[in-house]
Amino acid sequence: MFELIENGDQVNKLMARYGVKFGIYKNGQFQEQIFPFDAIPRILSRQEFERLEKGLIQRVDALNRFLYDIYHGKQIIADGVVPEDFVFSSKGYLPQCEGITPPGNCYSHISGIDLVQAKNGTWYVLEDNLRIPSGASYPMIARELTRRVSPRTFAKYHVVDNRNYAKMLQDVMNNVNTGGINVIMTPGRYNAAFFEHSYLAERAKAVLAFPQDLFVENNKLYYSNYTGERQKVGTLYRRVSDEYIDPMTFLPESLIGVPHLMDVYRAGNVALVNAPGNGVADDKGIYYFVPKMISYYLGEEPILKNAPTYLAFYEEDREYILRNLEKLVVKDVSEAGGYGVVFGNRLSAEEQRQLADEIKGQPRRFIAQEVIDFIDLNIVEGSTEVPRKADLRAFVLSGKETKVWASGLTRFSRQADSFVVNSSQGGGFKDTWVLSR
Amino acid sequence: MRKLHFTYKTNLVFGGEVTRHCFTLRCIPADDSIQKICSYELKLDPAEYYQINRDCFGNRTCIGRCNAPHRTFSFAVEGIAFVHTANRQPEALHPIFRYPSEYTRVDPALESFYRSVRPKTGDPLSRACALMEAIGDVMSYTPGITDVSTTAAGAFALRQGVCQDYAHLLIALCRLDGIPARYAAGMIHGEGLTHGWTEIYDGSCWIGLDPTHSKMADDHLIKLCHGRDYADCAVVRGIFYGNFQQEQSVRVVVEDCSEW
Repeated sequence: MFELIENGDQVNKLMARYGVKFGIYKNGQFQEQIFPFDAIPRILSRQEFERLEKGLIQRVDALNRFLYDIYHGKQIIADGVVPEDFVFSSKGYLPQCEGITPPGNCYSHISGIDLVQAKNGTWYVLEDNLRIPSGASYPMIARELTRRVSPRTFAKYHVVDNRNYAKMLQDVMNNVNTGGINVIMTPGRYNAAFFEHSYLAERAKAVLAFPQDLFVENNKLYYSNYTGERQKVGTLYRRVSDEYIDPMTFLPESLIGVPHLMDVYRAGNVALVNAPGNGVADDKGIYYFVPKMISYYLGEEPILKNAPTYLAFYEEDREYILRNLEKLVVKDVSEAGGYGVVFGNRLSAEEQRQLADEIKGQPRRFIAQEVIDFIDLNIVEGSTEVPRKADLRAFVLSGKETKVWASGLTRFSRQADSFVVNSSQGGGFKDTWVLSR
Repeated sequence: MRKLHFTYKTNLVFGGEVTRHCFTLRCIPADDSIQKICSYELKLDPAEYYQINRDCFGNRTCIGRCNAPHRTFSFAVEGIAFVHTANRQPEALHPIFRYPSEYTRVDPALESFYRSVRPKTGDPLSRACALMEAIGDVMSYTPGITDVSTTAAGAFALRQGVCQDYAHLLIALCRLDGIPARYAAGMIHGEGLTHGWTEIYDGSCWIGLDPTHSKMADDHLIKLCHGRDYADCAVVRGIFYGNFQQEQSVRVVVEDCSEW
């Protein structure tokens, strides 16, 4: 592995050359940045991966069942497992998806489950990402380039090949295809993940399309190429958020959508990957109920744990939160991303009192979690190695069967005192190795 | 029961030639337990293709497109409807009509107004009627003060508005009171523009209330569509290429041709 680590810079140079970048908007300017790669991989033993795999499949299967239920019979609400409030006040619930059964009855085809490992070795799920999660392309291309830079490393270590992601993705798209071509729709060149869109399209043998290449006629979706020739689209892996995909149904000002796409989808004439409306299942408030969903729909004990979470909505939890505010992290469920996340121990006494009042006033809005002291992974800094906080985004693909990609995106924070691993905050990534024996 | 002859005409005039024009119209009334549409004719000009679909609320939609350059766009629906309010049948409730929506989210002023007029007792219908009267007492009907983007809270602050604002206010107050409520858009007996009113769920049926006229919906209304609020019920929604002003004229005529 020394050879690989010594050549880490070379991998970064190759990635720059291949255009492995992500874009961010700073002060209204679009800037492309290299996503810094660290050559020391995260290594998962075969046993450890198999356990994660079982837990992830179970979790995603339950989430898919939940989504079907919410947009149809709503049995889980009638049975009192999930309070109605949490579902219908969630911004992710889209009444426009009501009653639609997606092709293959699959809602979350590609799920990105964010996990952290505590110092005692226990894995915790921090977040489920069921709305077109990104990031798979980075470990894909990193593996390709590290194999090239240091083939000997891979002769010596028995690492499961992760270059099958494209084939897995292609199978998932084929599985739900309603007749026609597979298309990956990108909002455009200036999207943060444009590299990923184009790379996945190339590898998964799908057509890369911009929104204006697509149009609807007679409740069918067509792709029109540069000669004007039209082809019917059977699966649209759209890398555009729900609220922008169809200006006739959602935000009318969207210029990156396809007018009447939802009519085609409602008629059952195209598979949308992932299904619109999934936001109701990866909402911060709904997260609390995922272990309960697993028991409810599958009749199984949850294999993977949630970070210990308390809902201010429940009186008992609320009292616990108010008593332990200084050691908890409080999240406002109506805010997205890193917004509305407060570490109790960083608040003054006065601020704690204010927060407590807000929680008492609007309990539905807040959840609180124990702070998990998750393990550090070493990264290369100059000529030494330093420990940094890191998480793992595992990719779960639901086709004929649900499968976990034997790799994943390990993101780390570049600042010593930071827990924030987001790429937009300057974090970097590592390859994730699963050992084959 | 009334037999109503209806005509709904809209004419759009653009300041120049527009292209790639996509539209969704909610101008065709659908059958339900209180209205039967026994015949209708739809005319569209220009349209390269169009077809009739349903949206998530069960409303009839007409979707279509016109790519070729055009300066005007018009559609007209004409037909006969039998309306019989007394025949309403029980329906399942979708829970979304219990929750605030964009146009009906309350502000502190509207919330304190609700507290001051909250009915003490009564079934959902009598409570909703009391709330409707309370709206009638404080609002005055004034066209041109509010527009299609005005929320319930916005209209309440002005104490003025049109049918859309009255309907949103009643929806907001009913939902605060725990009564599921939705927006209805349609046509009213006589000659004029699109009308908007409120429907409340009494535990088994949807019942129309017309807060603009402070009365229960009767057999002189033909519903085109319903939804959480006006945002779900625009009779015409479209996008096109071309940066021009547009002028829209709507003419609705409903005549009672009951032979009894």
